[in-house]
Amino acid sequence: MSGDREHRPGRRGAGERDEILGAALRRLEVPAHQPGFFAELRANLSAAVPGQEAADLKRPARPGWGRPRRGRVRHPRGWTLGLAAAAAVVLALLLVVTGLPGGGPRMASAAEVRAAVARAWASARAIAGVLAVDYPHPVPYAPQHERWRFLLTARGDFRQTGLDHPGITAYDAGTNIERSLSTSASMPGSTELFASQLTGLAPGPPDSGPSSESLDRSLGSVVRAMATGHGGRVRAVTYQGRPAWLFDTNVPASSDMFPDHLQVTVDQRTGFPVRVLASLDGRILYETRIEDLTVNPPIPKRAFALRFPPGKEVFHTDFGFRRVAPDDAGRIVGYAPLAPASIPAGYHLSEVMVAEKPSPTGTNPAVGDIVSLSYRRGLDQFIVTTRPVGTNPGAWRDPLANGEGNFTGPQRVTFSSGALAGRQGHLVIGSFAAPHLWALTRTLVVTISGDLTRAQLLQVADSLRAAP
Amino acid sequence: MRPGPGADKRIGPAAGHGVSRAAARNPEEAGVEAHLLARARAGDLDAFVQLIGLHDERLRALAYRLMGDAQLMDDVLQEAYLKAFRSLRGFQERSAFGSWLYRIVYNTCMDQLRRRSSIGQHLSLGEAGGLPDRAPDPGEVAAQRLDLAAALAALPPKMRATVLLVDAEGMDYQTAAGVLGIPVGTVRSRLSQARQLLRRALSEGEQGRDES
Repeated sequence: MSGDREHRPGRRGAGERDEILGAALRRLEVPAHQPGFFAELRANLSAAVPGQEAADLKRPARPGWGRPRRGRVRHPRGWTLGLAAAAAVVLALLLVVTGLPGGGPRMASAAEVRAAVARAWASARAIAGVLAVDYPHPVPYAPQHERWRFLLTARGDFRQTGLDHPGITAYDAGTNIERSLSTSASMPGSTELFASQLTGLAPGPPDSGPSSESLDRSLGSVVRAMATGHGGRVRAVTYQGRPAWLFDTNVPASSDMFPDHLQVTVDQRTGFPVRVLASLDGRILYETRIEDLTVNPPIPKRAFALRFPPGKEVFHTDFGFRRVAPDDAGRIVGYAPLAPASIPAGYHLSEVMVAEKPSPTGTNPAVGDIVSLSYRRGLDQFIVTTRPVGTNPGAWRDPLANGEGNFTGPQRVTFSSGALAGRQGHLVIGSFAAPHLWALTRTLVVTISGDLTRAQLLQVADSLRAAP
Repeated sequence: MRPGPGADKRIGPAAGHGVSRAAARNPEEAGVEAHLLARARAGDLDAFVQLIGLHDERLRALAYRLMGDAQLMDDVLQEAYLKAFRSLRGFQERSAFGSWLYRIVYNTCMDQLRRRSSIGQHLSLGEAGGLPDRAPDPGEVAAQRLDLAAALAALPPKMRATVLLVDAEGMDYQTAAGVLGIPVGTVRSRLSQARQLLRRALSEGEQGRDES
């Protein structure tokens, strides 16, 4: 809640107030809305017919794919929600950033900056710009500077083009094909380009998805790390001629490879981080800058297609995932996969994929018949997967653990409802790792991962039901 | 337990009739609200969202203190704002728009709390710790020197709402009674009980800090 305001003198007898108690009550902390709150409100309002009672608001939850719910408010599906919501979120951002109408500009709090960044990320349809990363202390053979031109959409398409080095990668979410022309890491200094084509990609972790990692590490991870941290100091600055917030915050350190402090410059007009200084024990680990940032740019036709030079040898890899209709997934894999009946505001089911071909995750047994559900909200994404546990349940370890050390010590949780009721799971929240949760049922391994808070992970987990 | 020093002298004069923090706007702000209200009543969604934005911070505070959970706060506010939008044409301006919104939010919270208590709690273990429903007896809370937030959370929701509206938000008793749908006398009695318990928590907290 905001700080004290002066009482207006008024007539006696209308009531008395305890001023000291009132001031103390006003100092109590009140959380900001979840990202996307105003987008959801706008979507709900758009769907409302004035004067008509909302019958569907009182309908009980229905387990299954089609219409996950949050609270008791149902969401329209599809991209129209994001489109309709974007305007409202921009409006909400403006309220946060510039203050209320008639109120004049004011300094934002750390919580407001966090909320603005989260909203910007959750509401954008696409972003484009130049990503520059500087490593003051590069490891041997690794570059000290990298500059990429990038374009990333809320559907998951992306294109990265090297500006100071050869190389280009493009992923078309529509066809689920990623193509790249890139140098080989095992040939430092070489400019020879190798062509590769990846098909059958999973929507994302714990299975192999599109390789937008550098973008995610530079942008998404900062958003997540900001969300994970607490407190912070905000100063108003001008960055490249635009009003910005300089936001200093400590983040939970998990290993000596990851920062314990971020200084993030957030563009006030868009809510996007445009510069990040990441440090550990006061030593800069890297600096990331987003130059020429454009939010919701026009997307050229065939922006995510990449033609290989004629005659070029192409390396093909198929990961075995296929997009299917939601109702077909169970029939294909031979069991009823789990799907959430409740999802956080603004998210929608964007795709359902299955892989019959066995593939491993981490050090776990290679199993097939995987079902992967992808939910998106702007540039946010979370993924729910189920796969058979096999004959040795005790062999399973965290399917998302990749040994990077970007998270430590999972927290054990017990689920209270849904298909996981009474079972224990492992919940991991780390600054620079995708927040995730995994659990075993008698027959299945379940993972939930992505841009979710701890409470949202539990919300989704507690609502899992066998999908028809 | 004893009341903090000077507790009896903390009572200040009331704000002007109907003037609360929620409603205490300068003429320019009042003009903005009136303009937005007119547009919203004509079906302008943008105007309605802006209108909500004028009051959202305070309504969040009320909803959060009543529900005790950020997710539930958002859920009830979504529902309340939608209700407000649907009822906007029926808003007859017999009270300030802010007070009307408070009433809708308060009623939505109480509906939700009633519903939750009737169906029982089904929450993850991790969430259970933050629930006000499991809070101990208010007297015990003060005795255990838990902080003001915990003492507030331990109050029955109706008492909690009363003290928040009057002492935190600065509503006069008449306006608070209108929001809560109760007689002014009931506002007084609820306030009296709530203040006693919260002052104890406050003074114990202060004492604890002084000693540490």
